[in-house]
Amino acid sequence: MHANVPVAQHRGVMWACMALLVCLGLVAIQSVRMGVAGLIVELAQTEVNRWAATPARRGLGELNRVAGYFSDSLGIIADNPWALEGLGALDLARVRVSGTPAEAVAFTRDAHLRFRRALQQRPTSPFLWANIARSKLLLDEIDEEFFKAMRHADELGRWEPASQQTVLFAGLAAWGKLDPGLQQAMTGILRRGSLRNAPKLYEIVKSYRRFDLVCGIGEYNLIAGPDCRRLEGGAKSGRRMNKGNR
Amino acid sequence: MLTKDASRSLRALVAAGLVLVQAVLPCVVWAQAAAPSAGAAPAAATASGFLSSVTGVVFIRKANGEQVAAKPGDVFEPGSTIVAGANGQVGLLFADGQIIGLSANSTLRVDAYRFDASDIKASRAAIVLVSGAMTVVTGVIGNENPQGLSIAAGNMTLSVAGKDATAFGIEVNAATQAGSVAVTVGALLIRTPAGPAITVGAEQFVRLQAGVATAPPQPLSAAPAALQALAGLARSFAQAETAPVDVQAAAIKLALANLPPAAAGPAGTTPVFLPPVTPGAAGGCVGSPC
Repeated sequence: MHANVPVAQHRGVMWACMALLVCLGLVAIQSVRMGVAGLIVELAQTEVNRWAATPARRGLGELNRVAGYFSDSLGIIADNPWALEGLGALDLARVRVSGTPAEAVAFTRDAHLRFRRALQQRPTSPFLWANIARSKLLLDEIDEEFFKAMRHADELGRWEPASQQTVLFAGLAAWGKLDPGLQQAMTGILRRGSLRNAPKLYEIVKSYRRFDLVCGIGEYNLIAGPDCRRLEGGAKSGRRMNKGNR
Repeated sequence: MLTKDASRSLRALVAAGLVLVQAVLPCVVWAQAAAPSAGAAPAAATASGFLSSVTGVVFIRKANGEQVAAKPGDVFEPGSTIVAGANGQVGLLFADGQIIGLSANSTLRVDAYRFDASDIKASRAAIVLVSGAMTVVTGVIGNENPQGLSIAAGNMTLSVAGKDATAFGIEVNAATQAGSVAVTVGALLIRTPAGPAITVGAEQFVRLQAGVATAPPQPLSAAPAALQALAGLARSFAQAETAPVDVQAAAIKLALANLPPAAAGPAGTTPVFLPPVTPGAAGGCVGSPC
């Protein structure tokens, strides 16, 4: 009886080791899969970064080729948030080169769903919230989800230039529908952003001709000066005309 | 009894008559043969343009109310209405080189069109987007005589602002009269009954609602996806050279190119068309082949 105990213990240890090895093996396989999926996304991201360095309009073929990388990555890890976000961003880029309006709407809807799926993995990513706001804007759905995405993107990405730019762009597009809190948030972005990326933010403001939002912020004086003076001159002549009419 | 001289005169008269008949007959035959083409000539002169591409279900409703299924190479005249069905898409090429792409579920009417390459100032085009969406790249009329081109959609009227080729997309809801315009190349002047005219420049878009003053233009990247796609199509059309076209010649060429392939047979053989054979009452046949 005594002689059998060590043998049983030995077997138990052996089984435990076996189970541990199997677990380690599974973890290793999963790690390899995640690594390969990440590597493929990295390849796609390198291409996208190269586009950013040489700005030019990309054709559907080129966008589809890079989208293929992200799709391959999702084939390995279905919920890879990095790949989902990248593919969503490419879907939004495909909108402008799509063959029909219906196809463009389908691309935008796909992008929106991908951002939402990615958000389940990374609920604190300001970029994902900003991209959700952008896709809702392109879907022409300025609703509660849009406002929620705008608020989260602003709160989570206070100092993230990319997030600031997207939120400001979407906010100015839907300005008339924003509540006072969100309108205030836009001026907050302009103030904070003036320290790091004033020219980029000013470019967005200029595209909407909303000089009134930056003329009171000192950091923009250098780049916005001429436009602000023109705005002030226009307002003065408007006041003079009003007085004359009275 | 005729004298020799009288008989000679009579023969000369008959000969002269025969010569006269021989001379006149070809002219009469030519005139008869030419009559149908002379009849077609006014149609050729009034053809505004032709359908350069047709996908899905597309109809042309002519000014006289006749409605026919459209195919590539069909010409259209002023007063024609072109209707693209749920899966339909159609490209229109006008005599002055203007290109219009009509999207699915859309209706367009050519109210007036007159193009004279030798007198551009007198050339006119009035086009109405009744419902749906379309892309436009202006041709010679829009580029050289901007006042001559008028495009209406809902309660807005668009005209070219400037003297450059202009490419844009428009969508309009027939029920609400609301619409959007996205410009990719050039600039447009948009008039509505609700407020002052507004200029929309390249890479900008504007929304219009019935009875509401038009909001200032916004950057095209903020436009709804469907409108961005229209603008993208306009941009790709704008890359093509817009020059006046000989509508009849181009339409016939396109129609021939789109004919279905000939019945299968050995390559190089000429197809032979035989008259139909009608079975007779006694099991034989009736007609020349019998």
